Amino acid sequence: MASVPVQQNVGITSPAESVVQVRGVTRTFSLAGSPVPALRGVDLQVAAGEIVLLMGPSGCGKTTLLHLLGGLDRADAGEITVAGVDLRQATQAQLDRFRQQHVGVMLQSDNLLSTATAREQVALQLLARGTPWRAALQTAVQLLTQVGLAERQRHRPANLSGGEQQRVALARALAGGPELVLADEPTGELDSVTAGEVMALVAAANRNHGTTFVIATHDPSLAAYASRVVHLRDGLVEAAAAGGAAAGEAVAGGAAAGDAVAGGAAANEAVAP
Amino acid sequence: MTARTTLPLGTQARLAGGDLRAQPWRTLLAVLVLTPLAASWFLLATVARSLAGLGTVGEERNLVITEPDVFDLANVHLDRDDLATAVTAAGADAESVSPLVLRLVEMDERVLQLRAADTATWSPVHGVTLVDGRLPDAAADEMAVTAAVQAATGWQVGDRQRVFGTEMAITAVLHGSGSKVASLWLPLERAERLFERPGEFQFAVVRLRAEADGDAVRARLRAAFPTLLVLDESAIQAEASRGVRSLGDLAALFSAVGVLGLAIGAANTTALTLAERRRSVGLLRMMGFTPAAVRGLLVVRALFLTLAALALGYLVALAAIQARPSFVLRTFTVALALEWWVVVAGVVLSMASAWVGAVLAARRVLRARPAQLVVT
Repeated sequence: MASVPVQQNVGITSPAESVVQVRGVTRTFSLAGSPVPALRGVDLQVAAGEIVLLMGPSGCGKTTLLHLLGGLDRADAGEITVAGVDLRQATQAQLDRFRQQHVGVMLQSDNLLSTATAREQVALQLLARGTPWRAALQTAVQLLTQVGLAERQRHRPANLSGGEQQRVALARALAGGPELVLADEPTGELDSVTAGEVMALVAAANRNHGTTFVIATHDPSLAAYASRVVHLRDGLVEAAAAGGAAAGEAVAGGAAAGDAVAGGAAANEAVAP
Repeated sequence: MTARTTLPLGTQARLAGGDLRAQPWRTLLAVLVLTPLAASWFLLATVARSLAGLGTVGEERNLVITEPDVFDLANVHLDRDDLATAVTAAGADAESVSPLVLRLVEMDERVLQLRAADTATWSPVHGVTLVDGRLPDAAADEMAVTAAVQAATGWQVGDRQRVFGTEMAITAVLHGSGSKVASLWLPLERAERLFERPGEFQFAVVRLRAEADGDAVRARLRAAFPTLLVLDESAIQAEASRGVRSLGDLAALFSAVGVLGLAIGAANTTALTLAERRRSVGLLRMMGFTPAAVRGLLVVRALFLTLAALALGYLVALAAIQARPSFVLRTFTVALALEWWVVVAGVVLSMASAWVGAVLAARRVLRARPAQLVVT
């Protein structure tokens, strides 16, 4: 894995096919009346079809950046355009529409609604994107089958393992075929084998459908799946490096992207709506 | 695919119902918290409605001709001729003109009213109805008592009690209200023999036809009986019921407060749900559900809970009313009946207030950015 020295705009790739364009973005929170800068002028571009890892120590701004990219929060300054939508200028209604149409989000934990079954979790995302409920439930079952959870479709989160929950969350994020999936520590609470299974599904969706992923993680082994790794420190992009997938390195975690995935779903099967 | 701003009502109902079914015990608890409020509302509205009707039902059509002091027996000199005069004065406007005898009688250290009238007039003119037993036979030593007398004395049908020196068998329990709530009733013929004053009575009661002009008839009766009083029985009852009506107003006020309580209860239930499920709301917003769509789900959820509480509250109120269908308040028997329009009004008002409560409770959380809601 080659690294590059710290420099201005190290996160930027060719703007021509960019799904994500971030320039000079800042975000400061207020903690007990004191300003706490989370992002201090981040630049980042992500091309369509990339898997970009955001890495860095806790508090460096990874989650905040993901929230801004997902239209879940608003930047204080700078420019953010995702899937052609200017998120800084978008109204609340436009942000709602943006989340419905362009982006899927996975969180580290508590990703799922406690009272909904696995298929309902996925169907809700499709419902938000305009699919009628019954059709959404049918499509949800297909998606859960693709992530190896056909038998668990009527289970609620309390009856699913951590790995199964993350696979449901991934199926939900991919439901409706968004251009961009944002994942915050998707393997943070999983053992290495399960983490490998989840990442193999990510790689399969990326490979088969060109879905772009931006993944915040502490886990360096995920670099094997990434096109690019962007390091953040203290709210700034510190460095960028080619990921293992781009460099043709072996996939970490023992599961190659083309390997079979536990639960019966092959990672090279289509994982798409 | 078209992006949604709100969800179809059927989908909202399905999702909200599924959410409630997923946590049956919590749902039951939320319903049980609201149920006493709903039951209280139904009961208060029923009491308020019953009290509001006191002294008016059936008696607004009675005109009473009497002496200024009805209990001074020296004044008792209305007779058959007076009845005939009243019939003539009232003319076709009268449905009936009938005599009524009134005495006070001391029994078991209680002073009770004894009323005597033709048994055929007891229900249509005097508004007393048979609750238990059979009407007394004028040829026998038999009498009836009202339910309030029965409740006060413990007398039962079949018991015998001495009245003015004669032992009378109780054959009937009657329901009477207003000035008739606690009284003994005799057939007129039996009273005339008992008091040895045949053909003399204190009251001539003129029952007006429904379409009659009461003021005009009263004026004619006053002209015919210049030395006697001609009174509306409803006015007498209204005077007697004035204090009771205040209680009715109070009950109406409490029932209004009850609706507010239901609104606060529904808002509180939604607020508790939101406090516990802030992250769930964040996840829905993260998926692209608009604030309006999430609000719709929360409102439908609150409406389901309120509807379930109303159904349970209705059953509780109904059971309470069946267990005690009437009670005596001062001189009135208040009969409780849960009328259909009270139920409909309760449901509509409660659902509306639950809707408002849920909207208000959801307002703050739906104004938050999704990132604030999903951060643990």
